[in-house]
Amino acid sequence: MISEIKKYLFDKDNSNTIRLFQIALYSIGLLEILLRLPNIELFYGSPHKILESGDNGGITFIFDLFRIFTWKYNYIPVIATYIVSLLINLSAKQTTFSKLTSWYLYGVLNYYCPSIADGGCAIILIFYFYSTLFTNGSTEVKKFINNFILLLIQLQVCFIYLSAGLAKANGKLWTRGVATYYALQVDQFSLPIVQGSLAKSSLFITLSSLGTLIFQLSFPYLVWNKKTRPLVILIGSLIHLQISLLMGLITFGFIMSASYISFYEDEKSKNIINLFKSRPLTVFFDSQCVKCMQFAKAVKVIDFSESITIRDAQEDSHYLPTLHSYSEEKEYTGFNSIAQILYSLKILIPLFPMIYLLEKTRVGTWIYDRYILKSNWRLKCTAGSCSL
Amino acid sequence: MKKLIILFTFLVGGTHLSLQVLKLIPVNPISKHYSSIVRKLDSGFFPQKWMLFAPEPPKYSHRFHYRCSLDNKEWSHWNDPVETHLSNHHKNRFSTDQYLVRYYKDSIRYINNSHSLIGKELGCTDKKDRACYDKTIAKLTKLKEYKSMSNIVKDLCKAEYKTDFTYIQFRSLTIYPIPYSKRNTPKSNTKIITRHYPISKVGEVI
Repeated sequence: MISEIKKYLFDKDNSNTIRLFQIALYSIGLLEILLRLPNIELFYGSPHKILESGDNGGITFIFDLFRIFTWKYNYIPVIATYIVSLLINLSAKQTTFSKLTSWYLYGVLNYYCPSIADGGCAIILIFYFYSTLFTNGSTEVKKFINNFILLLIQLQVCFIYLSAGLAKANGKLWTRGVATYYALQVDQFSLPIVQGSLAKSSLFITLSSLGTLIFQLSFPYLVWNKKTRPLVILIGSLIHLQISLLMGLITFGFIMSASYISFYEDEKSKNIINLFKSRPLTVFFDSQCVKCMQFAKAVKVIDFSESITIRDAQEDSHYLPTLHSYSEEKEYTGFNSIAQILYSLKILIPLFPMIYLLEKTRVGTWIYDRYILKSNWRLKCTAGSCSL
Repeated sequence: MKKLIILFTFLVGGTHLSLQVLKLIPVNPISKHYSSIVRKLDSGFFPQKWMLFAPEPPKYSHRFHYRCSLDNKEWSHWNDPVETHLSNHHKNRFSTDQYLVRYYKDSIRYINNSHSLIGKELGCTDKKDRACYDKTIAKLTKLKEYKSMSNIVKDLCKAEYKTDFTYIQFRSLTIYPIPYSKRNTPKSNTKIITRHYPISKVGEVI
């Protein structure tokens, strides 16, 4: 056990996982503040309506730290600086100062309007703090520090689940398997359709209540086992996706899902980061196939980074049976080729997780084979000529 | 120098996590012993304990209605400031309305919580005890939360009717859902407890 921790802290390179975690963290921070923007005047602009969180918790050292910042009611420069710091942190030019700025200003924003903050905002703030301790560079000391901080983040996630799970185990409604019914009856955390039908299903209510309880209690143990980790992360992501979309707690659901990145293997994180990088891609479209060429034209229109080169599949019969593409000496065919095209079109970033899932589960390949390769219009393409 | 950097990181990161652990774990002799330090260093930043609806999920929710008057005789009808935003929030989870729903609901929640707390402090057990009620309200209206709420209502009146009103009033609604055991009983309804707060004259209370 100790030798494994030593190996993790001193030898492992987690630079890609850390970078991916930071991208996710600051992107969620950016999304969160952009969602607040249309109403900042209401939340921060009226001195007589501001209810500092200190009013509910007493004066502490940290509150005093906030009070030193004399931004009161001059909220626009604070928010503008916060957004700029987030953008810097998302770029490769992030510094400890820019990360510290994000952390401090986000604390200020939540302090002056605590009623709009939720558990997700509190977790973002904590992760911002950990993120400031990450260092850029690859010396042994820096590598050790980064691994140590990443380990702290992992432990933090485990303690969140452990405390919630233990507290739930003391609650009668959770152990009786009816808690989600009451949570879903609060209109703010539900949808009318759910309150009406799903919440009345005893099977759904019992499974979701007990399932949540078991998940939260088991996560802190199962996530450390390499064999059970992917399953635990998958279940957790689905639960938090549900929390985001069904219960409407977008920030909380997203940041908890992002926290799982800290458990990713570095190689996996590297693959995900590579999806976002512009790489030259050569695609072979069949010039005799009208629909293929229409797709090729559409791709060219939205390929703003001009990373895709289109060539005629008629050049070589090898390229004809299915869609071929090449990137950095690597050949892709069928749906994998379509996925590479879509990854190259940065405008489709919001769809990346779905494309990635379709690709890795091979569902995309099944759809491609079933509905494109065997479609009537494609089957008519014989010996290099298509008729529609 | 290397050792110093490592020591610093250990100290800052380790302290931070230890505070979190002490805050999150169930109450025990150690967490009790350190609770004052944890609260001092931590509560301003991290008001949440991430109980994630534990030990019990909320068994009721808060809403409020408001009305406005120029002369304290003719009043507008009761308006619900949350309904439109809630509907938008249901339609689009990525809308800004989620914050408005939270903002208005939390504002009235603060008032209701303070009301109950003051009532307990004053030993008001009988709901029909008028003198005790008056004392509670007198204390409540002096709170910053109450003044903030009154200002929110004043601004809502102005936004709704494009006029500066002299009198405003709000009432809170605490909504209890149908109990789980009665969810399929046809005549079951949600229970709503309404609490009227006194009429405020703009410029006096606010």
